[in-house]
Amino acid sequence: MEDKKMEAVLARIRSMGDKLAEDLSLLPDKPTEKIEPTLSLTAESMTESVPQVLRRRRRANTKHAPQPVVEPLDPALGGVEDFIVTPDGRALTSPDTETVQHLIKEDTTRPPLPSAPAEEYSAQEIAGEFPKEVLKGFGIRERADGTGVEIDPTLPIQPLPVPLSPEEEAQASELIRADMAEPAELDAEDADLKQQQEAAFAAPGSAAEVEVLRKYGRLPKEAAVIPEETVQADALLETLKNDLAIARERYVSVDLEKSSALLRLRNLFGLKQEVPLEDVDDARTRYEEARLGFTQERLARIERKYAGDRSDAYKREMAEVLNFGEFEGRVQLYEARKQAEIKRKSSSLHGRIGEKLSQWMHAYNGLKWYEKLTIGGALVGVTAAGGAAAFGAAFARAVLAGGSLSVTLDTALEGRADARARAQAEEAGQKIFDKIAEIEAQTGNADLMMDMDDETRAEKARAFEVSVKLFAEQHVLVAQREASGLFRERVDAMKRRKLLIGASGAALGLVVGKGWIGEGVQHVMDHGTGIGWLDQAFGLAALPDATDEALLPEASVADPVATPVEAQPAVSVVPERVEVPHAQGEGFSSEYANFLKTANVKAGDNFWNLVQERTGGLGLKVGQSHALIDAIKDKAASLSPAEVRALGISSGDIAQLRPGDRIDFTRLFGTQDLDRYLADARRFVETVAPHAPVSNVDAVREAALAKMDATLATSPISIDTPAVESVIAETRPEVTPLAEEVAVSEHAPRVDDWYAQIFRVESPTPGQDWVLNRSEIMRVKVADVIRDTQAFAAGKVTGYRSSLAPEQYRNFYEFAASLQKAGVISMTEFFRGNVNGTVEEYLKQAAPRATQGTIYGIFSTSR
Amino acid sequence: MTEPMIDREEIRQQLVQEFGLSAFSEEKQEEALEMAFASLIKVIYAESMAKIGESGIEEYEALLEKSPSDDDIAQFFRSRIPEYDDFVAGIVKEFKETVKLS
Repeated sequence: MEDKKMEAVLARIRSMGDKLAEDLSLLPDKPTEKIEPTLSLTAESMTESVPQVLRRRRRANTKHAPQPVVEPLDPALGGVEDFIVTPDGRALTSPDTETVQHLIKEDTTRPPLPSAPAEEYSAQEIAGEFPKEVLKGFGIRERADGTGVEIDPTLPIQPLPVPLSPEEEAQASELIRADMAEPAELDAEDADLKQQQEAAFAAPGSAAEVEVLRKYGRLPKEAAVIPEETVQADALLETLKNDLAIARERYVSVDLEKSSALLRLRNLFGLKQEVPLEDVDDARTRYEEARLGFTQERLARIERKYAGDRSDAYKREMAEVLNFGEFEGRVQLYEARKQAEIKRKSSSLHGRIGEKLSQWMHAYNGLKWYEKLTIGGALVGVTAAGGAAAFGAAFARAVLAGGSLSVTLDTALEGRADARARAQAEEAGQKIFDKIAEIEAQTGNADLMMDMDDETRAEKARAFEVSVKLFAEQHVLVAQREASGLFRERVDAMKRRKLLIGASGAALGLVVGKGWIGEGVQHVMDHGTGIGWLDQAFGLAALPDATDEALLPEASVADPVATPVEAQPAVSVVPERVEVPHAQGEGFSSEYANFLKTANVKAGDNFWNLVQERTGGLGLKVGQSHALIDAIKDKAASLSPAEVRALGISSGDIAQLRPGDRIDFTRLFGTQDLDRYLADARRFVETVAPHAPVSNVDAVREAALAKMDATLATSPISIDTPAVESVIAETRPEVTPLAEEVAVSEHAPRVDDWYAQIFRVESPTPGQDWVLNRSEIMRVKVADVIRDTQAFAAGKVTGYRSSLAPEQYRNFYEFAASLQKAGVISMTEFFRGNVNGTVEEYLKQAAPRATQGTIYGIFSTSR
Repeated sequence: MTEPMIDREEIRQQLVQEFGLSAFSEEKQEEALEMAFASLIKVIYAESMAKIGESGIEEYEALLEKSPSDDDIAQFFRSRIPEYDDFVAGIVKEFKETVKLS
């Protein structure tokens, strides 16, 4: 080993020597000569002369002794071919082998040299180089006399670490090994940062965020054990709740807007404009649907909670959720409605009020109801004096005071608004009548009296007065029609809403099969905790119709329609019938049970077949059945798509049923509607001789014709020739056909529809020369039609004036007789206005007075 | 919190009857009443603010900065809204007619 070392040292020395010789050889023309040592090199002098590499060190390296530093050879050694530097820094020239071996032995056996003393910063040096703030951080302060800095003696001295015992060392080693086997633990700050980073990448409110928060223990303990499906259910409920809030806001907004438009229109009689209520109904439907979805989810949670347990607790909770949801829905709807009203009337303030409200209510929501009573009283200034208690008491009294009408907000307000509008219609109409009658009586009578004898003058004056009254009445009717038409729409809308409420109940009933609601409801019934709205929604009891109640007291007082007309007995104009619901709503008769049962649509079904199937259980004859079907057809044709959807027809089109649709016929009718339709159908065929029907249409027409034949000769309607002639004789031919002035073009579709039904000739009579076209028929005088009808009934073969087909005579007669019977327009009245009145004039005069949805004779009024 | 002078239970029972909440458990009754009064007072407050208008709201806010007494607040509304008692009573009546379960 030592030989090898020595060889290595010698090799190094030789190498150095060769290098030195090479360098020397490069010197210019300087003769190589042996250089004698001229210097006595000692370690001390060597140390002193060699510049320090490290000028300063802050602390001594106690582990390693400083390595001797060999600076470039002293120039004095230049030319020396063989020398060696000893470990202590001495340079030996031309060492012999023994010396080298000695040095090697000494180098490998002697202990390391003591380390050089560490050079520390002096306080002054530190003070000169670092800001005071930095020094302070190191516990160094300036001396009081300003002569420098010193260690701050007031700082606590860090205790030196106590050396570990062997046992502790072993334990620490074990901990370190275990620690290295586990992922590095984060300190609190790092963990918090990581948690924030992870959560930041998770969507707010998402399951991922919940997971992150749970992982880091940021959720309450109970939240950490919530199953994932529960978290999802909560999210679903929250979504449904938000949907409900949106639907509610839209509903009240649209409803308020349309209601206001309605009121404005009602103050402007004569407008040929209608207010579409479909938007309101559609919004209401969507609101009800949203509410249904929210309620169902609430119920589903209870179902899951009890997991098949059908104890009383389950039933009670189900019923309570239903009941509470209804109350909550009403409260929220009320509040939304009021907010919308405030927004409409104080739009500029609404945002500000809302902002203040939210600030105020934030602190308010946590209070108990009686605390709300107390503070609420004070904040809104109820009562005059006293402390908070007095305020609370006064407010409580205000709360406890008040009536108890079983109405909802919108229907109550609408009912009052309708009544006011109708009263205004009456008043305005009467004013028109008075004014026109006054003017016409003065000017017209004066002109007529100029060249007439007394008798003629009196007669003409009377006729003129009749005409004026007719004119006035028609004006009144126009105004009333506007109001009553709008009113009827509103009534219908409210009825539809009522049905929708029922529909939501029925829709809730869909889950009865799952056992969710049925038992809850049954519990309510069994335990006598009857819930009015619930019973009503489910048809569990025949309860008073709140909607109708809202209308009737005021509607009956202000029932305007017949009043101005009845005051004018000289003419027999009877206003259109307005369908005012009765106060006592009645449930459907049990005889309708089969008719009204829900239809489950299958492939191939259509609406009419389903209706026809149901008429079978009503005990109707064929003609009666068909009459009822026609009535239903007219009713269905008047429904909007939203209303059709409310029936359970998902397409919104009665002509397009889809398998799986569930049609609830109870939503198609009010109870009185169905009663009336059925009564009409039964009355219609009471005197009809039985015929063998060929088809539905033929059966009805045959029945009508038979009825006409049976009653024509003895008709109570005075349209026999003498009566007509008498009217003609009494009436001045020049009388202006005032009826035309009020025949409004908007009823042209109705006229067209009637024409098509009355004068359609499917099979011209054999031998008949021609069939009149529409324009020719419309120009035929009504008096001629009547004469020809009588001639036809008498079996005459000649003398006809109008050249209509026999079926057309019959049809027109049936139609005219029905209009007169219904009080729409009598023949006497028509001829008094215009003895030469044509078929077209007759239809136009009758059209505005007729009621949509009513069948006259066998002819429907669907448009 | 100062309690109302009227017996709380008496009021509660009367309200429960009026609102048609008797089918509820007592806990649900409390919840329903709290919800109802929060809504009612919110509406009364909003209607009052709408009634007094922009200038009135500014005055009201200025009044609130002075930490007014209940009397001050009451007097404020009374002075700016004619027949204020009737005004509030009307809202309350309408509210009850609307939300009652019967």
